[in-house]
Amino acid sequence: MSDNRLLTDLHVSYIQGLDKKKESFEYWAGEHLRLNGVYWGLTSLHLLKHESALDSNEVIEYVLACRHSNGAFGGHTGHDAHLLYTLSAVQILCTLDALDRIDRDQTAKYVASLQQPDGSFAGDEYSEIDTRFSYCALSCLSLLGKLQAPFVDISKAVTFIHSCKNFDGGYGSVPGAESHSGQIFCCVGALAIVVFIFIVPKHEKTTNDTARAPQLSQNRLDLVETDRLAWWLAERQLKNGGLNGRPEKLEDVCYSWWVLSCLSILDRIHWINREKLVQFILNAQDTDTGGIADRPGDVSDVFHTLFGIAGLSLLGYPGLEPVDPRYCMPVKVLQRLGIPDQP
Amino acid sequence: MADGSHNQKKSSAVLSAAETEANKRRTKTYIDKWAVMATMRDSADPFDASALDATQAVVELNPDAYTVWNYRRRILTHLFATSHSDEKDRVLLAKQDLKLLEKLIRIHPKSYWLWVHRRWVLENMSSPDWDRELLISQMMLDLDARNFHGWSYRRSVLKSAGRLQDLAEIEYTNAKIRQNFSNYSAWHYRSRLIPSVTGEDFEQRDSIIQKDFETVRNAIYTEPADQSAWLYQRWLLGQKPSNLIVEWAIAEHASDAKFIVIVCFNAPVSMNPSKVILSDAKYRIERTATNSPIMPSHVVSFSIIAPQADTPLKLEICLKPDCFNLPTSNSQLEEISLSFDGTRSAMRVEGTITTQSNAQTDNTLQMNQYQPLEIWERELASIRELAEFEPESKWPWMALVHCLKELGGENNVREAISVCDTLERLDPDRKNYYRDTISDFHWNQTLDKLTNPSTSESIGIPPMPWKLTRIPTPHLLPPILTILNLANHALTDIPVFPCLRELNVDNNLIQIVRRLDMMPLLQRLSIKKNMLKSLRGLEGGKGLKEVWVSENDSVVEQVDVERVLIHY
Repeated sequence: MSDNRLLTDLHVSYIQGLDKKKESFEYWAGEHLRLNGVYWGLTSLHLLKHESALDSNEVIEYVLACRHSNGAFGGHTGHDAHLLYTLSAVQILCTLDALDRIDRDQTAKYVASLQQPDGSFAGDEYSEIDTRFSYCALSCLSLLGKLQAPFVDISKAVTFIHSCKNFDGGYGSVPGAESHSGQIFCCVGALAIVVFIFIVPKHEKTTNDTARAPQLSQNRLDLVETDRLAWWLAERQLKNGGLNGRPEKLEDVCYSWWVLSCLSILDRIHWINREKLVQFILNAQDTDTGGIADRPGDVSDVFHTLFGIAGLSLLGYPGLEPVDPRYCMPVKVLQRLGIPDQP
Repeated sequence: MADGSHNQKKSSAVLSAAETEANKRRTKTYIDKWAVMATMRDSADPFDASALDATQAVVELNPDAYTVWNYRRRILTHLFATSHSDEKDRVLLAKQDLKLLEKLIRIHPKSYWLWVHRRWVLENMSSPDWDRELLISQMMLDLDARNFHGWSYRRSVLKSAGRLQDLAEIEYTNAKIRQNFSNYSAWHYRSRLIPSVTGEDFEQRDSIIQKDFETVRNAIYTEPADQSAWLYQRWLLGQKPSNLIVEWAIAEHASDAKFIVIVCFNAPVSMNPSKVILSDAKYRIERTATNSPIMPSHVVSFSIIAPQADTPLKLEICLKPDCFNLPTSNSQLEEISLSFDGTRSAMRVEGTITTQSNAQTDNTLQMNQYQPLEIWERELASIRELAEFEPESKWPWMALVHCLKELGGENNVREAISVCDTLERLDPDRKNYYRDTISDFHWNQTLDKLTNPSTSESIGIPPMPWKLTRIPTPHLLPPILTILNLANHALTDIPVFPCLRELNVDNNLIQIVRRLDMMPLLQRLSIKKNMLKSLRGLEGGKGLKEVWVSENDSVVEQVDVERVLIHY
């Protein structure tokens, strides 16, 4: 069992050591998502306020080595391009203030090329459709500063997400699929990220700068049934304080992020017991090796480490860098990029 | 979502010497097999007949190696076009992959990439055996009735086979639910299936729904603590369909020739005021730049400039469908017109916009049956009985509140409030949800009493036996009221009352000032004795003149906001 405080130093050394486990089979079998892993580790370190625990230049060079000639990124060097890794790459470059190392237009064009006629996004050229990819695409374009025509048809993207809404107010992976907290994060996050910008019609443009500025911008949370969904999400908390992803399933630390970030976007974090969730996450720490597991007593990994720490940050745990619930990135990174705060 | 290790116990992670050795050997094999595959892939002849074996050797060790599946698809595409272009040969090749996948899916039922490849193979066959695929999904769901890959695969197979509206699916989900009432996946599926299968046959639909009420009753009596059937019961009872309508609209004289028009809808909207059409070309809509995104809300405001100063606003405002960012292009749309005759309130509001904001885009899926009140009464009686029988179980009480709220009336509301008290005791983890719900009841009762306000602009909210924790529908406050006192409650946020000129929220629990941009008429705000730490956000109130902020938690740092007199 663990101490009831966040073991920051141990987690930092755990993340630093991740690249040194080359004898284990898991290290190699997880190669295809190494770029995700770097995002999870790096973001954890930034939220823990240990930004310099990894060598930024090394990380940037590694990310660039995963880049394909079309501007997309693979999960590792020698692996094919996919939207999942392209988002991670862009997130890492944003966090390290190195977005100028890539051709943003080219990467945005790749992302946009995955949009289908119905507004959905495929993960790669083999056309698997999933609202996870809608989120990846819209988040990525927003970070690149390209969330606009001609790169993407926002209206259609929104329509597709909306078609995945279920009777419980939640969202599934495709129309008809069951609500799942991970998919709900993707859909609610995407609707919170897409910002409509109304540009003054051409004939009305003047030389005045104010008049040329965007008129009004809004996210699309009007499509979310806030109370219905937030109540369903609040019911994900179990007696032990942990959150599950669907009714009658087991609790898991990663839902501290998927559920909590949505409750935060919807302004309803107070509908669950925050203190019990903090304790649940802290109890899932591995006091020997560092890192956070899916639940107390299990083996830790970098994926749950990030979502545990990010959850604690949203819960206001002391000493952590504030995290943005829409992007799962430090708030200050988004401010530097000029991305507007959550209203 | 499952990219970390799940459910691996720490005790089992400590490897014996022999296991460590085996793990090392496995690692070496994997690295070697990958190298063979990669060499072949990057060679001059990547589609050699042995390439399939090279990819198989890797994915058997690691089914998530998506790059290798991609390569395998390229090989297959090449073979289909060349040496195996013959139908018989194609089928042979495809079946070989289906067999491999079946083996791997049994071991790794939650690997996304396996299901992706399986769909790809089937899509590349001229006559895939969809019945067999349904059996496979059935087998997966027999092993794990909640595996969402299994359910998604089932729906994708049915879609490809053109059988999404198959009546047999109703029977299949029935069987799954009978096996285990706790199968939320199956209950969910019914909520999509029933409307799509029955289509316009409302009689058939109703007969299924009425039987489902019985099944739900069985489920909740068997296991009242299981949320699955309780959630589904809410779907059975339905939701009132609603079209977009204007609740009210006002035009407030701001300065000289400028009027602020505020339009309140019955649902949050995303609207583009620059597309609003004015009946008189001498008037124009003022563009104001804003840098921060605002929340889509029930209320939209924009400014109209009259041709000359100090003339009353007399014109018609037309909101055409293209003013709204609606989720679908096939919404049935009319237009809304607002006519102003020089007084503050719009004289006439006409038209509705039929949106699908609570529904699905697919017409057959959007049918949202709303049960008649006698069905609600019937369910209420049955739930009440169960609640009395199982007083310590929270779900019957939850359902009771849901029904009482829908049925309304003073007695029902009183009972609902007392049930929420019980719920707060039974389920303290979600106490703030129940407190917000009680606040909603009290607020709505107050609003009911205000529906016919006198001409007086300031009406105090009558004393309440409850400290309000939130205001659910501030936009429904009659727009004739311009001064409101909400001191001494437990609000954590400043409620957005679009038409108020003066608001007092002294002695609440407010920590931040925000969304004042949504209260364009607000001039005076008293926010003493709260928990403010900063005054950031005050600048959002464009009409603000005077603010009181004394007695807050920590002394608020002094700020200068143009035009605003701040009393510290």
